[in-house]
Amino acid sequence: MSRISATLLVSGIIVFGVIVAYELTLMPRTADPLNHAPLTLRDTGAVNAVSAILFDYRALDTLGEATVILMTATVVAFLTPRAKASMLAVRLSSIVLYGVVILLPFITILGIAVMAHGHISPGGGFTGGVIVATSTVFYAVVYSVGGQQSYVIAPAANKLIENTAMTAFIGVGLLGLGLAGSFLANAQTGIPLGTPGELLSAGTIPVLNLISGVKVGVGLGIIVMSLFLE
Amino acid sequence: MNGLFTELPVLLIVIPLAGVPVLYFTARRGLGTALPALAVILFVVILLSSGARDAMHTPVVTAAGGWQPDLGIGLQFDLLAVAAMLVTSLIVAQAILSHDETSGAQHFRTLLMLLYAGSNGLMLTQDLFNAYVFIEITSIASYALVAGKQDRGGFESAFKYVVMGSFAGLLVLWGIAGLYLTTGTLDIQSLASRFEAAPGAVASLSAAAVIAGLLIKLGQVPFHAWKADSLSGASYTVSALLSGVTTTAFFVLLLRVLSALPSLTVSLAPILTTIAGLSIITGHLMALRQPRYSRLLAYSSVAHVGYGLLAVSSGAVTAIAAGLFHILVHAIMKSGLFFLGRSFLHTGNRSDRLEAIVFPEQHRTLHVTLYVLLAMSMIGIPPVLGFTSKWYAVLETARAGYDTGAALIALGGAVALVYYLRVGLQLVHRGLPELSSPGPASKRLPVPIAGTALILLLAAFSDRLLGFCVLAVVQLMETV
Repeated sequence: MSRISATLLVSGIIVFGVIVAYELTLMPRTADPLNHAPLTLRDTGAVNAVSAILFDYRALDTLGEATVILMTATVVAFLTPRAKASMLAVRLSSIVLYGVVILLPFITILGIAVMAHGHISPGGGFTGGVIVATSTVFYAVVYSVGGQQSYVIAPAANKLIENTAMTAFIGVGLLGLGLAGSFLANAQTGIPLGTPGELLSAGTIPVLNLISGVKVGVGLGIIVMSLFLE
Repeated sequence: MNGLFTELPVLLIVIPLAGVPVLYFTARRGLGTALPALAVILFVVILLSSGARDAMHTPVVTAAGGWQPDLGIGLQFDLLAVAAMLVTSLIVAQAILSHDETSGAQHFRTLLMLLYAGSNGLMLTQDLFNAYVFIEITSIASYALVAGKQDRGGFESAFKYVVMGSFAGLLVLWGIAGLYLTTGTLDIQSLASRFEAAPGAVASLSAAAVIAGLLIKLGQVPFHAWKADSLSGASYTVSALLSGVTTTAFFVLLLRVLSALPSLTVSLAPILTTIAGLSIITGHLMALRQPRYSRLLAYSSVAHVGYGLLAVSSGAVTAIAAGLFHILVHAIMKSGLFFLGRSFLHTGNRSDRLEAIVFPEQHRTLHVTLYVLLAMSMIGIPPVLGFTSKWYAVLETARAGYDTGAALIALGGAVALVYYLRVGLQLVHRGLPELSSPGPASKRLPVPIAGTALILLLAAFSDRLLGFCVLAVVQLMETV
């Protein structure tokens, strides 16, 4: 691309952005969308309204989004060449090497805690999954320097975990179908919602949080590891 | 079980999705993936046909998770979905059968299940954001399928496809956000009333962005070039899926969006008809000068989707039905032509340049007959189904007052005659080329025979099929 066309393209994007920003300031806010927030506690028993929407009201969307991550991971792993990591031929200091060993358990536990507390505090499966994925990436960056070991979890095990998680998600959905007659139903199944704010409350929401956390964690792990190996 | 029946729309999405782990676990146990994949489709088709009778009276509307739309996601199983999903199921089944047992088979079939689930979702959902999720699933599966050849051409095609597809997806998402901001709903049915109640510039612009994104996904002018680029690098089976399954799914979603916004559709009609007309002209003229089989078929798809869009944008119920009918017939016959392309590979020739393609010696007569039938259908020569669907499209478009458009559709066939004849003459007249290493001989009969036989069989019933499409469109208009 010549410099002129690149300049034209960039200025075009800027002009478009300015127009859109201007439009947004003019935008009339006449709509009164349905507000989920006052309903979530009664309907789902979840204190975190976002989790209630993600894993109960619109759980079908979440199943779809988790599938997108699984699919992307599978595709990236399939398409990237299987070579050894060579880019990280740096000598790391012992502070880094030992620091990681000390930090890793805490990062992983934080990730799991964020997943498990998704219905009662900010966070949830997606956030927690990313934290867990970070810990595996962290480990791989530091310890695969010599190229001895690139994967924290073997690719075959990754696939097994992903597919098991997918089965579990659909299984929870089918449970709702069997008990309440609608796929991914939560409170209608008669599962006790528990006391709001406690760890064991909100029915299937924490279960789905954990499942999607595993899916996101493993999926992102696969994606980053596959890109390492290039 | 009554509960199960009202959950039909969700099951039609979840069963193919559950096919992903099923294929994984059966492959691990060495059971192969072809039979489980076919079982998934068979199950879907049984559900489809068992629900069709009830959908005839009233559409089955499901609130996913038991939450009514606006609080949750609504899905609708109606005649439109039945018609379109029967066609896409047929094509997906053909794709499973036509893929040879090689190392990539499990990967291919897994992606196929995801594509199937995504396209089913697109055709059933009543929720705009849910539709976007399924657009993502369908698109990413198709990018991966295009790249699945794992050669330079495949990667290049996939990259172009990703760029255009992401742009279209972004446009749709932007439009959905704008619509939610201005109307306060994501449900297509409540959108219909709220949009009419408060039509503003921002709401119209957002709706137009959604429609434009879908038109890009359908490969309409001026964003038509990606279609040929992405199909030319993909394998024949994948091309068949993209031109059959995804095109049908996006067209159905476009129909749902357009029927929810009648006043906007009326004011957009001149633009839509212009786009459709230009797509017909560009598609056919570009197809005329393509040196490669896949690119030729891809440009012909641009023109045929143009037929459908033209009929739909005229706004008359019968015309919309004729457009839908033609799109469904086109999906069957175009994927049939792509599946037929697989036979070129059995001669050991990897190129799809027109001067190089040739049918293998085995079943040569059968291959040529199939090509002639499919080409006749594509051009619109009686007595095949392609003729009747096109006939109705011309007739109804003219009846709706679009004489120029009707003439364009009719003339398109004349141009198509030239390029399909050119390919056909080459296929018939040329002997087998001298090849250093002849390819693996196929003992299997060409799979598209199923599709072609279907086209032939159904031509006599085309008035009934059109009647079914009319019912579907009437139902769509009424429920919104």
